[in-house]
Amino acid sequence: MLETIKYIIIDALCMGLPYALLALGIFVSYRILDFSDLTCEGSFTLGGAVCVSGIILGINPWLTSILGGVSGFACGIFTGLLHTKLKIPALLSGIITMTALFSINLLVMGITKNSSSFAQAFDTVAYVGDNKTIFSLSIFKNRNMNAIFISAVIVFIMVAFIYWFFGTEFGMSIRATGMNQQMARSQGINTTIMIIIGLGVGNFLIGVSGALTAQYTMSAKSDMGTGALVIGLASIILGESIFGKRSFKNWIISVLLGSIIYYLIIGIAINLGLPTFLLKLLYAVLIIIILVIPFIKKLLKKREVKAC
Amino acid sequence: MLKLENITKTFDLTENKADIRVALDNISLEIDDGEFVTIIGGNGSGKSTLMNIISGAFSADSGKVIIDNENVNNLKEHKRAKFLGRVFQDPNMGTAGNMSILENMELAYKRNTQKTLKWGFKKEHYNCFKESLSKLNLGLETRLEQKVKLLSGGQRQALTLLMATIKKPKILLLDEHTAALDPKTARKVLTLTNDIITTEKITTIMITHNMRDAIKYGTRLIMMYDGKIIFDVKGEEKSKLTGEELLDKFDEQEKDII
Repeated sequence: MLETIKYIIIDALCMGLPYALLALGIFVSYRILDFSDLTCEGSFTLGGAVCVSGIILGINPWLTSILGGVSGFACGIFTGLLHTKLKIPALLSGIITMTALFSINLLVMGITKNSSSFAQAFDTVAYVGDNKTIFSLSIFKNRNMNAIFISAVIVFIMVAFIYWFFGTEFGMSIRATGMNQQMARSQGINTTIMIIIGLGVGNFLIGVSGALTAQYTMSAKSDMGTGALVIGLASIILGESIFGKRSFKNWIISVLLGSIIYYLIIGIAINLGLPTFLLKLLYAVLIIIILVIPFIKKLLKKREVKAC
Repeated sequence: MLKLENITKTFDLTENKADIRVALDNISLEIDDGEFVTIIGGNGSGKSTLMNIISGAFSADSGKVIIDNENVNNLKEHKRAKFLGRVFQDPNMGTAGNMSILENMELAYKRNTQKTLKWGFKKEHYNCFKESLSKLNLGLETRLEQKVKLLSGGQRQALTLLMATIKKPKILLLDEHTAALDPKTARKVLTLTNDIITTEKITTIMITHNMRDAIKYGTRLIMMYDGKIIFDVKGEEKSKLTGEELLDKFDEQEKDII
């Protein structure tokens, strides 16, 4: 019993920490910018694909992880440009980028193949193989403990970065833009730039998250981003409803813990015998439950008042 | 200070451009440094459009907007912000609800500057903000860390006003900023507005629906009708103006149309 609990917790941390960055990235676009950004499903995969392909090509894994983030940043910028410059609605801008990324991801994963024609220069999966990843850096003997420690350090750096960035004049302007564009403009803030950069920063985190996940699972797959949005949103809402959002610092940490708790729930479900092909169904059911909790809370409150 | 030259603005009401409404009809206006102009007029008279043309939210079909001898026609809304302080009709419009009073004021304080990666809060501002908030007499000086969405409509408008004037703007634009408040709060905010404008000598344009306010406050009164300026008085002439006279002016126009 104790072994099982330990196993579930370690597993939740192994997956939850890389995915915490995904949740943070989605938090930036959905909560800070109030922008329904679907780019994440593509930029998450791109981050993983760029990272793994880079590793196979012999580039330093730390550098390719950063490159994964930078490629995510570029995706966010692209979506932002579509929305602000070409006036395409937010949701559609994200879908367009995501769709384009599907092909691009296949190309990136095929880059390591020695194919003679362009028509064959794609692949739906790329394996790390015997190459070194950032998790090869051995600090603890146990592979999982090692992965948790390295992920935790990266997550800590990213959280510190986000906290600092959104406290600067520039970051404050992005937050103001997300809350009230009219107010932002009348305070001299260029809302176009703020939306573009904001989406870039969000997708940077998502790209890094993809890179970490791919390295942990030792492979990048074309469908690894499917459902990323639901996982991220569920983590955010879960974190918010348990740990609150009193201050900005409190809010970021809530999102982070939300992601880990989300994977704890998934881990428990799998341990109770849920077949893995039902996972995505579980994701959907879980987010419905999480979304409904505040509504039920309200209903219960009303009933209490009536009972009095 | 502010010069409008032959401003015309039309809106297409339908897609095929068959139905065009003229919101501003060749308007020219010059406002001097230190003037406090009240603008009055019915719905659809073009007063809000005029405000939006000055602030850069709309661009005019033709004509020039000149602020302080600089043609600002090609400056976007956020670039014009360095000249302007604005308070809107909707109390939620002028502040960021999920940010604290302190954060809102920091943003307003840095309206004219490039946004850098420097830390957004400065300790030395804290006391300065506290002092200006205490002048509002609304008890906001003890609530600096609180989110603005917790404030009442009147408090939010007063804060927006303070933010608009914290760095003296070249022109203060007030777009019916008391219309959404209850009468008592509206009076309080308006008195406060008048105090700030007269002590700081800020060039101001204030749109109002209330004739009494338009007469009571300001050094110059402009009445608009159907996209045109139909009445413009200042100085002594304005101070002698009565409500009946103003109403007569308004009725005159209505009769012409019928």
